[in-house]
Amino acid sequence: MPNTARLRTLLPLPYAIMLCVNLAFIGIAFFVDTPLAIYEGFLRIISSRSILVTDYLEVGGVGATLVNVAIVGLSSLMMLISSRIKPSGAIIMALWLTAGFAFFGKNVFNMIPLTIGVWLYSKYKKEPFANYTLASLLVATLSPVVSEMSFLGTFSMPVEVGLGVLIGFAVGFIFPPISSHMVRAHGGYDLYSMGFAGGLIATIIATTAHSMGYEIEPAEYWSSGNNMVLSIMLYSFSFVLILCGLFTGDEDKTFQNAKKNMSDYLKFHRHSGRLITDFYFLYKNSIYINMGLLCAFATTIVLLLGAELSGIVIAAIFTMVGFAGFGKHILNVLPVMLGAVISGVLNQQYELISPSIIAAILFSTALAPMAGQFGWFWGVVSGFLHVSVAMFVGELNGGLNLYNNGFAAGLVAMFLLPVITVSERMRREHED
Amino acid sequence: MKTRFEKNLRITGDLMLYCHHRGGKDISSNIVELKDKIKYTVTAFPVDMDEEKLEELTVRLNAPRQLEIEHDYWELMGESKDFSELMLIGTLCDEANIEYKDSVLTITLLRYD
Repeated sequence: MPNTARLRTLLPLPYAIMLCVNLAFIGIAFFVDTPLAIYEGFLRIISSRSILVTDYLEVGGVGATLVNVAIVGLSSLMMLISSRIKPSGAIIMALWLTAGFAFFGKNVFNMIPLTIGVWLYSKYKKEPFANYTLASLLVATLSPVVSEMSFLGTFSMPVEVGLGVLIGFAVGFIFPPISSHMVRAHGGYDLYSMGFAGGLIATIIATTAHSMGYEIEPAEYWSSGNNMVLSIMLYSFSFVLILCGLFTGDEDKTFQNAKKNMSDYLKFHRHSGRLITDFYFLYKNSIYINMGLLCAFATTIVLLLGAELSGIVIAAIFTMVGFAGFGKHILNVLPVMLGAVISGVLNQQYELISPSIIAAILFSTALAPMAGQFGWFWGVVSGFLHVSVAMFVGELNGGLNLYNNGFAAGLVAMFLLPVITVSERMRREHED
Repeated sequence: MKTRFEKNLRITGDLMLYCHHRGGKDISSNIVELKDKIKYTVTAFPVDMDEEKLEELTVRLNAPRQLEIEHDYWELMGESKDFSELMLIGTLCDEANIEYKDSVLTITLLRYD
């Protein structure tokens, strides 16, 4: 096998892109911060409680956060390559999501016990760990559980860390069966399905802790003032992704690849986006056009609204990029985001440009399949309700669920699906 | 074991629902558990298929087997609204063969253990 073919088998384009992105993070980190500042910031990150909202850009600084993102991203990538998992829409999504949430809440310390818990479950079921790859990557939604227990400040450090790790094993162990079962509740209309499962588990943990007299103190670490560096980074990613989308493929000539990929990209918009819509399987490299456009679109919306590119906002943008290969496209995210913006404008508790609202607007696209399946009106309604729900369900689970918007989106989908079914039936009867 | 049988039922159930959606009035399904694989056959008549629909069905059911997502999403089968489950069925199976002749649609799938 020629060297290039062997390299392509070992490191397919989606993994190569992710590798380059993570290496770029390391490069940018050492460009903007000194090694000492990065080291000290990194220690602050891994010893933070990490519950919502702990923006690592604020806790550890830009350099340390980017190193954390790179470590988390590269370790996930290594796990996939060593398990010989081929890229798919779901796997590409999980990689970008993992990287995004390493900007707030997820770090190499608090994710490993959860992954080991999933591994223990696979052993218990006598199935290969590879069958649980997606769950092992996305179980990190509950990373704050490990950090919260590990840094209680009540017992000695080794006891608390031991306790946190053990609880991480237990939570990781119960996550796969719960997440698998929960998809039925929202029928595949909540793209952040694992966040829905994580929300349920976190709610049980938080309410049990509350009933036993332990109050989880909320965290409020928001970063600001990094728009220049981060917007340059995001627009650069968009540009490179679009170039990859246009000029890579199986055709011999670059122009032919561009024509084919552009034509494939236009076909994305026929799909509702409901789970599982694997654009990577259907349209291969044209997903990068979708990824680049959604990245640029989301970044532009944030900047136009005059908001800050904080850690949580970056996570939301990366999540949109990831799901550009697994259900989202510009036509199914637009109505939902419009509804979310209207809800943000009318919200009396928070300003439109507050990081929570901005993140909820971007994360509302978890409900993109509602617009894709039922049309603009229900898309707008979904987005509107999502922001209202997302702003308050975090309190229910004590900020222990990083994909809190996935939990909120699941609740909205569960509420709206029967309403839509009944209203469509009534409309049909009226027409007859 | 229970999960295995439930998966079998949902795979054939979704395929039968698809055939019904495309006008099938006489629909039958068959599940055969062989030594190292399961064979599913769904036959329906009369089914309304044009070239584009046939191509779409073939592509989706031939999605590569993805063990890594099976556990997380298989329960979505049986929730048909837009037949996005067809791709899910494809990721659960190793081989798919689709034949369409004289308004008879025959779908044969193989799922290795």
